[in-house]
Amino acid sequence: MKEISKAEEMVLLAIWRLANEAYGVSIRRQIRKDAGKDYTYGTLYGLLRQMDHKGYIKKIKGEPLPKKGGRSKTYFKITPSGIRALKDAVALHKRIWKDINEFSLD
Amino acid sequence: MGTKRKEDPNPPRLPEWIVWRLAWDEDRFSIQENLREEYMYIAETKGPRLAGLWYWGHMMRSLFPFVRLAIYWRIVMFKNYLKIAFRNFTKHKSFSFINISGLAIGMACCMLIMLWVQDELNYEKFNKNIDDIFCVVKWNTSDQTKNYSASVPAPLIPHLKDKYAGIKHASRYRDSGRRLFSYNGNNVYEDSGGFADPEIFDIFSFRAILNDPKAALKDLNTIILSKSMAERYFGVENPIGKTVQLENQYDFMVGAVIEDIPENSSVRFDYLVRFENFGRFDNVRMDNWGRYENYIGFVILNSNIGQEDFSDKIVNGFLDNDPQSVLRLKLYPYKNIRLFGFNNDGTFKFVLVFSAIGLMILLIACINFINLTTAQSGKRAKEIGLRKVVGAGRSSIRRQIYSELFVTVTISFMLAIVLTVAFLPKLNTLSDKTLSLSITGNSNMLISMFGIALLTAIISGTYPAFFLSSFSPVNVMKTSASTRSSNSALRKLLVVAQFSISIILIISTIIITSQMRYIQNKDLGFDKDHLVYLDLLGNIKTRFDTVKNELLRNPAVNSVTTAQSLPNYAGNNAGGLDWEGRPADVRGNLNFVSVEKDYFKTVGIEFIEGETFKTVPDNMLLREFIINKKAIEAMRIENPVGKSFKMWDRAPGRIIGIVKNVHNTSLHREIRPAFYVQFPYFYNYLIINMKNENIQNTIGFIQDTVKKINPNYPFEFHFLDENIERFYQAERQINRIITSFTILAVFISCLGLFGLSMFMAEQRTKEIGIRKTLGATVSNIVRLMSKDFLLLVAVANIIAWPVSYFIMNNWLQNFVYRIDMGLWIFALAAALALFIALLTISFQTIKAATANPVDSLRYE
Repeated sequence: MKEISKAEEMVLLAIWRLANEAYGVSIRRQIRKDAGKDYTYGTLYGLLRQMDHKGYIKKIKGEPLPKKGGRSKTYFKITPSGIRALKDAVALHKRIWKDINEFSLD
Repeated sequence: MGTKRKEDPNPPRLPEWIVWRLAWDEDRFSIQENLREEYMYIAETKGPRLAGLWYWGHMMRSLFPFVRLAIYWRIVMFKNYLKIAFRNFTKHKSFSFINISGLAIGMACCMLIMLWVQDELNYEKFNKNIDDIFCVVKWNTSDQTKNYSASVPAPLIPHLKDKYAGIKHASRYRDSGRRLFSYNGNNVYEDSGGFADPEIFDIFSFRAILNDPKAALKDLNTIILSKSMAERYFGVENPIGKTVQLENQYDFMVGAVIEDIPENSSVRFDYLVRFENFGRFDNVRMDNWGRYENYIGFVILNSNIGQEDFSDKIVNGFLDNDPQSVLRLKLYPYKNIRLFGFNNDGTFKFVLVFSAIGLMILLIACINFINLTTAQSGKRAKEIGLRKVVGAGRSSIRRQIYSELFVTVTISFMLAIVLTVAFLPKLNTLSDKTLSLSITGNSNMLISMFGIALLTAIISGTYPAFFLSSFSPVNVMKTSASTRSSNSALRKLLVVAQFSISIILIISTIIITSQMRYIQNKDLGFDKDHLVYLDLLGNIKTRFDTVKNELLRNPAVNSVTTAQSLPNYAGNNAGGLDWEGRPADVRGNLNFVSVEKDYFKTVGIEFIEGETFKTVPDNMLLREFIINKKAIEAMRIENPVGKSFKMWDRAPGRIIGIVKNVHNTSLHREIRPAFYVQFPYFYNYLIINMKNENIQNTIGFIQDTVKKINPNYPFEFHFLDENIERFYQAERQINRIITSFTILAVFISCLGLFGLSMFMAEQRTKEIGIRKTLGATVSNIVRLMSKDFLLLVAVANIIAWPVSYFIMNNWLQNFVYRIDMGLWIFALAAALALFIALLTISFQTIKAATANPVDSLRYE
């Protein structure tokens, strides 16, 4: 299977961390908190859409917003194959850093 | 207001709208909501102004990802649509075949016509100063209709340049006609040459390869060759300084070599010699204001004077020589000659007609696509309905239809290019051009080709896309497919349009063909089928009597004569004539032909009164004149025989006979009044009337005889009927081209009809089954199914008749001698169209009618 990118990894992790509360704003905030990256919605939704297509996450319609004509918020939830992709990413990370002390790079 | 704003602040409109436009359909709501939420948070904590700024900044930073995303997903979806398109394709093979073959043929026609049209429109365009080149044309004030002619006397152009300030460059030009070339003992006739003044190289952009052609042409005995001619004669050797001989007596030294002149140039030559040589070659005085030997004058004006101003200046140029002259002058733009001619007789009308035909054929093909796609919509409706139910919008359905169209058009386009390449040689022979599909050399070409493909896509795709995407899912799911063949009214209209176009083309073809047949079979008044002719060159001219006697020894040779022009030409126009009893208001102006005494016998022109010349010919004394019947009317005299007749300032002679009218010009024009005279100075042709048996042997005998007397010239002979054919070359070309396009148009229309009938038969399978079980016969059902289609073709006829009558009536006006447009032509076209339509649909109707009702009703 093809490895996920660092950006995808960050988004997936954020969604996992947020559990049932993962939607656009919260995901963006989470990533800023964890990685210090300020993703725009353009970038973020590009990644989300791509991962939706690959089946790592799925969209869930929330309750309609409590205002006139309010549409429901779209939440994101990680799927089992998303979890597997995250595990693969960690495993790969460990494998390629095996026996290397980061200070030895200097 | 201030409080309200604080409570429910809205993000700035413009960036919000931009985000909305750019975001992908499914996500645009979420993205907007998210942005709003953050905006409101910032607005609450840091104030709306900062929040607005943030929104703007965020939008700007999102632009690139959004655009990239949109493009990426469009491509992904497009791949999906393509997959479905190909599936639909293989599922409906016959419909796809009809669509693709029709569109391919339609586009190929368009491309071929476009190539032709571009070539015509690019005539002379290689000249850098094309807009500044003018032609000096004359017209005759005594003519009823103003007719411009470019043929001017030789001294006129130098006179204009000297006397009227304003001409920067001027050159006379004349096509050389056929000339004998000799080099290294080889004698060859060359047809493509010219006589010109050196400044011709300042006027036209002919590219020099070796030496400066303008400087070289200063010398009377220098010749300039085109690259291909130089290679033909001298191969790889350097041609400069070599000597060739013309007309067996004049030596010319090669002074320069130029690049071959492009095919689409009106002035074209392979070799060029100084203008004055024409007088030398043909024994013509070059200071004669009264002779117009097809000399053409080209000028470029000084930049400070315009065309109109200079035209006004030179209008009376002829009066400088002869104050009585009825001729006037003006300038005519050189760039317009090919397309518009001097008297609106250029190729522009063909450009229009052919472009129209090309578009019509493409339209017919597009109608097939529209009809078949919408007719099939019943089948597609469920798929589209389902797509809509799961969330596809109208635009995405439209995009899907466009993708299918894209596949169809792309395949057709590639096929069309193959067809174009395959049929280009055919078009070249038809149109006498050397067109090629070189995309590298011509970026216009590429653009136009894709333009044609795009046009096809737009015409054929727009309606089906809107029609199909408008289906409401509820209706589609509820009603059965067979009742959804809606919009059949529009389909009928389109079929009528298709067939109207086809029938117009059929009628035009029939009329043009019958006019051409009429021309072919028309009795021209002389014996065109038995006549051959030779150019009167060298010893044949000086020892004509010997040649004649030698030839007459062969019993297959009926008669031999010589004349100034062939019987299908009315010779030259002569002014300054006078005759006994000439009314004062009749100008002494008639055509004359110089002929030998046996001319009438040989050519087969009958006498009404009198007989042929009896005196010995003498260039100085013109004692006997014979006139044609038409001339009597023009001269306005009665009992002309015996009356005195005077030509120019020579001693008067007598009219000794009247001959029947012969068509001494093409059938486009009225027979010209003319008189015949013995004037050996003008003789140009040896004309032989021979028996039609053993032609090869007779020709062989003529060749031996002529060769013996005239060894220095290659033997060449021509049949007169081939020469007459040249009058109608343009018409023949058009006839052939239109016939081909008519066949294609009818074929494509029939393809569409075939598809529609197939669809109808499929749709009415059950109905037919039930009818048959209730006792309907095969013929009942065939009639039932054919009725609708035949009605459409009948309506198409009614539309096509007046249109084609109008168009063809207009075309026939080109001929003075022409056929009547009988009703039979229209009836024939109607019958033909009905028959073809019937034949086309019969495949399907008979198949449907003979099907076993058990099969068609089994699934009920």
